[in-house]
Amino acid sequence: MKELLAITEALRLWGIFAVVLVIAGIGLTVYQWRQRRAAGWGQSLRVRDQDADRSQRGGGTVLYDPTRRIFGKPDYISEERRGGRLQLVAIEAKPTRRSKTLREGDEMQALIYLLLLRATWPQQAADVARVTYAPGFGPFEVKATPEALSRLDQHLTQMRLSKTSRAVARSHNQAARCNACSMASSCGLQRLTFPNKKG
Amino acid sequence: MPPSRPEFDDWISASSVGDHVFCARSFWLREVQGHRVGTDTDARRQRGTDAHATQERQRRVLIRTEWVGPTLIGGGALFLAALILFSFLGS
Repeated sequence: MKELLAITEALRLWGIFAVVLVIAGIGLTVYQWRQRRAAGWGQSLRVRDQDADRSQRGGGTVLYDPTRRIFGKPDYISEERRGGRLQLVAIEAKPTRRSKTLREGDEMQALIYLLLLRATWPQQAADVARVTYAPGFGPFEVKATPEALSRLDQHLTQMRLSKTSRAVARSHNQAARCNACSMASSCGLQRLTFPNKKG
Repeated sequence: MPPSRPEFDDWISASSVGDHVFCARSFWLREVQGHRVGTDTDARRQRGTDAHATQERQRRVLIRTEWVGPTLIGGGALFLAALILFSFLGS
């Protein structure tokens, strides 16, 4: 009788241990899923082709698109199952940016990565790219819509023109941009200021 | 960078498009006129680089440990099943 009680007690303790293992496993899996989601990574944390040296500055492969004469190196290229097959998604990470809306500059940059992936891996490139901000902000998906492509082409044309221009005017009317501008000291134009609040 | 030959002069990098969208004059001053950015920008850029490095470390830790959770769940469930089976056989 004593032996039976001892066995039952041991089974109970081992049972508790097994349940704790399962709960810990579920907790860890959920934590990792949330971390992955917050960072904007897709299903796969591994990146195509350039996994080896992403932590090194200059690591990874530069991609080219001769059609638009653009090049670049996405922060990550995630392999994700979309529409029943594995596809490559370019990810542009801005981990310090805290914005609830996608900035146009980031959208255009991600759109270029999308086009670069299409030019490099036409069969596997996804039809979206992703922009991730600080945890809690975003992520955002960028698609190559005719409207977005038209805006991108306008920017590319203006950029090429400006390479041969003797002077280029400011392209915005926002004081916040002047305040945050890295070229403010060499701009030479009067810095835009916030309008005075009345009352 | 594309090879530095004249036929590649009008190639454009993805990151510089963001600069141009921010302000065409700022892009022109930096990329065409070759002005250097201010020290504030250097500090901000360093913060960005650090944040990227931190995120990269997190990704690598996740890759190394992503098997642990499912293994704990599977192992724990198997162990529990074995205990239940053992208790039935023992009774």
